[in-house]
Amino acid sequence: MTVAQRIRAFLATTPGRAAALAALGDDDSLIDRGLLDSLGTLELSAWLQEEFGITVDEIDLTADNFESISAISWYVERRVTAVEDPGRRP
Amino acid sequence: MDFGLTAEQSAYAATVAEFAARELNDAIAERDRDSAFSAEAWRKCARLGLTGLPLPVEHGGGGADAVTTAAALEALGHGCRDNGLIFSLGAHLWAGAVPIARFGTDAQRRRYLPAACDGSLVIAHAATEPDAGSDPAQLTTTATPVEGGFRLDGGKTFVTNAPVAGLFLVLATTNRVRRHAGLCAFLVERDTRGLTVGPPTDKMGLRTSPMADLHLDGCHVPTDAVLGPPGAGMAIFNATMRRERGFILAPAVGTMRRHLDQCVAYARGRRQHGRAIGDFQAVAHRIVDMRLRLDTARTLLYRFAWLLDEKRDTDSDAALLKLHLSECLVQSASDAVHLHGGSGYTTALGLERELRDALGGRVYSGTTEIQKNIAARLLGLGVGT
Ligand SMILES: Cc1cc2nc3c(=O)[nH]c(=O)nc-3n(C[C@H](O)[C@H](O)[C@H](O)COP(=O)(O)OP(=O)(O)OC[C@H]3O[C@@H](n4cnc5c(N)ncnc54)[C@H](O)[C@@H]3O)c2cc1C
Repeated sequence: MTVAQRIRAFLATTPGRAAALAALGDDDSLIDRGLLDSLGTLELSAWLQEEFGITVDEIDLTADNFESISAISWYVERRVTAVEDPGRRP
Repeated sequence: MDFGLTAEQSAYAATVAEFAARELNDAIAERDRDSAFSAEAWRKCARLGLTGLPLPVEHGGGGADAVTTAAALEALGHGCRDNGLIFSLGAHLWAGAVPIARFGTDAQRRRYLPAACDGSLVIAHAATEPDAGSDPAQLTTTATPVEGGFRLDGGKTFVTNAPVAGLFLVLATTNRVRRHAGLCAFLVERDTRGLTVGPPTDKMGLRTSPMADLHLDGCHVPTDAVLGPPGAGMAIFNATMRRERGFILAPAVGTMRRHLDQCVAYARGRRQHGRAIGDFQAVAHRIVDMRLRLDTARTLLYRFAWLLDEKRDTDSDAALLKLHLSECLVQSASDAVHLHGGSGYTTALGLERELRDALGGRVYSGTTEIQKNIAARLLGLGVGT
């Protein structure tokens, strides 16, 4: 599974979200569709850290990074690179 | 995991406890009655370094790590019976100065932190509104982009320290439709045109901690008043709340230790039916429950501090800590009142004030129910915000 697919699968585990997610493109806004609230962002951030072994800085929980599945995937990929190559700032 | 304090940490905590007991307890009953904040006690705290304890040394702070900070705050709670003063200090640090230290630009840090550390600048955090408390994403104070900055319009309520603050960390929205994603944090100086502080709010407890509403009416702030990167308002709010939940009730561990000591002494000395009341199992068991609450609260506090120093703290840890400490504190104060019988219920011993002060802990920094919602969501349970 790609990073985006894993994120999508995780988001779909929240009750009542699966149908809305099925109709959502990777670039569509999770926030504007009401699929990611503030607590949801914290929940997702905790899962990302465990699932991908990355550190998510609190200040990174911005709309830019969490707007869509694509944005989150891109953020994760940058953080994974940072873990693998700590000298490189994503 | 090692919760033992170093000799240096223990010595510092002892200094704080001794200072607090000697310097901060004057005329508390009168100040509680008059809702009077003690500027003199604040200055004394500043002289001891408490107003900048966890802040960076380069800006005049103490640079204390989380465990040292927890130990100092526990000692403060043990020595100082002015819970309002301690609460004001907590609001200033955790919801004001620490977010500036963590998320501010160099210029913002240089401008505000030295004065925050030396106590000459008190900081307040203004998030809650009449129609947005547990759900800050619902707030309606707007930040409209204008030439050179933003115009803020709206109203804030329950702002701790507002009557004495020189700086306000204000949460506003640049886009209401986007709810949490539209939030933005601003540093607004007290003399900014369009900002008005309302009359002091009269409240049940923590009466020596001043509180007021805030009105923002065409209040222009420059672009460099924005705290953090664009779109980071909610991230800053959540990060601020996490740290605040971790420490705002740290002094309560010391307070509970004081309650316990006072109750043990009273139960040993007070005689009824020809015996010390502590000889009655029902009384002794109540005191044992107080001890158990103190120990669990203390363990959770130092565990959180240790996790924070290890950079492994989570929102769940902070929520559970705040939840447990606030509930334990209320029960501890209530038990202390009860154990002292009629005397506990009168104002003479100051225990009823401790109970009034404790009740606020279930509400500020997110209510008990909100802490449980956070913990539930982070367990993967679909609880709504
Ligand atoms: C002493 C004190 C100091 C404070 N200082 C500050 C400050 O400096 N700055 C600031 O911005 N604010 C401050 N506050 C405000 C505080 O943060 C809010 O009062 C708190 O977040 C609750 O909001 P509310 O009062 O609007 O209550 P509401 O959100 O209206 O809640 C009312 C009741 O409904 C319950 N409830 C609400 N939503 C849910 C839910 N989803 N699930 C279950 N139950 C729910 C709550 O638990 C509560 O019991 C302070 C409050 C106090 C008491």
